[in-house]
Amino acid sequence: MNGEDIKTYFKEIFAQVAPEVTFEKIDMNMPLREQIEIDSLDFYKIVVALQKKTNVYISDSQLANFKSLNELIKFILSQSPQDLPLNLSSSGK
Amino acid sequence: MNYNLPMPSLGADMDEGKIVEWKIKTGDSVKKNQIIASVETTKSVIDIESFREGVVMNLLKSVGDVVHVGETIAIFDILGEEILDQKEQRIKVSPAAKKMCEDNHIDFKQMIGTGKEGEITLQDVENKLQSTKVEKIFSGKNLRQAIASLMSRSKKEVPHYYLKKRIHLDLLMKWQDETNRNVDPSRRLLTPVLLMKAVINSLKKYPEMNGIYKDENFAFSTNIHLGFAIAFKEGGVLVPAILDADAMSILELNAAVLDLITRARDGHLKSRELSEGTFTITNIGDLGSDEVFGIIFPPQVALIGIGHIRKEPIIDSQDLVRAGFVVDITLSADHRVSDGILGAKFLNEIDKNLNSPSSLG
Repeated sequence: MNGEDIKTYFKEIFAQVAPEVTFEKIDMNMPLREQIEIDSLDFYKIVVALQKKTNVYISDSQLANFKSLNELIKFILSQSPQDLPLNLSSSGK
Repeated sequence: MNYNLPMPSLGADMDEGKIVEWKIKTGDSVKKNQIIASVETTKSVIDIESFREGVVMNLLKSVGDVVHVGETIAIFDILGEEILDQKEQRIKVSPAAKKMCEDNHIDFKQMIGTGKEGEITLQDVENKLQSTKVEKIFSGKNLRQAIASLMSRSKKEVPHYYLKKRIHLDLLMKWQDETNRNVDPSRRLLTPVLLMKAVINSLKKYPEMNGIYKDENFAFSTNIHLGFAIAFKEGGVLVPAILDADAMSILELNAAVLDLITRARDGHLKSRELSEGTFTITNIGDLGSDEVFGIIFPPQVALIGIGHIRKEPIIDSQDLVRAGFVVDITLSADHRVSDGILGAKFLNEIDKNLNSPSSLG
């Protein structure tokens, strides 16, 4: 799993959770909520879906520290190998 | 015996409704309070419930049909109708309740009493009136106007007082992390739900905050129907309630919150959820504001506002400064019912609950 894989996951998740958002227009280095209108339920669904895809747990207190999607991607990549996804083969990658 | 099921009125301004979906079909047995159809009104889609038990004989209207209030939409074969007729002959109603029904043009034969041996009490009639009022507000043709009217009334009639308390959340966040780490992702506990649970526990100790004010009297509610403000992306706010939230575990509450938000967005709220709230929570923290001093949702008597959960410098017991999670919790309360001293104790109780997170489970 690399950064591009996780970006693809994000794209798939956004297509389900917030289909009105054009993912390509999101600046990966800017705070998400300053760019698009998502509420706490959307955010919850995104986090749950991301955990299911990557098998990496991200706590709410950690989430509060991330300033952008790129920071979040770096965090996921920093997790130990045993936390890597079990379902990569089904992700199309 | 046949019963003609009419298009119900979901508010005084409702003249007609469009059938969006039938949840039943010919031959189905229908129980009391079962959701039988979704109906689109001028502002939202509402699930309608059956007030009778029986078997569906015929659905007279199709999906997409616009039907006037009172027009028959389905025919039920009512089970035990003769028995019901006899029962209606001897409906018990207290004299005060009967007079209030007459004054407000309510047919008490259509009501279900909660008093001894099913007697219709004054409280039953007051609940009915309250329900009608809120439904009217909800189904108004312009949600913005409805909000304006209700909030203006609140600021005009209710003498608010406001309190704020900053609460440390490090223990809560740690407990939440440990809990969420060990469950399936779909069972993750939402942070606002933990705050809600702390408020519910505190309301049990301070019932003066939970109920309705009417005719210069405050009536406690024995149940906690927890309303929470849900904002819509297209604008406007609704305050549906989680009914009987006091009887729920933290996991049940978490599921109920997710379900209610989803149904509010999809237009599948039930009329009871919009009319029976006894206390309200508003959470503005998602958008980054540190505090909100809300306006009480009449006829309720108090509201808790939740601000942005953030890291701030904290002076610990050793007088050392460290970074820690905090939230500003505000209370807007009705001075006709409670005083600031009680309000402060209530906020302290919420603080105590949030700092004993294992008691929330």
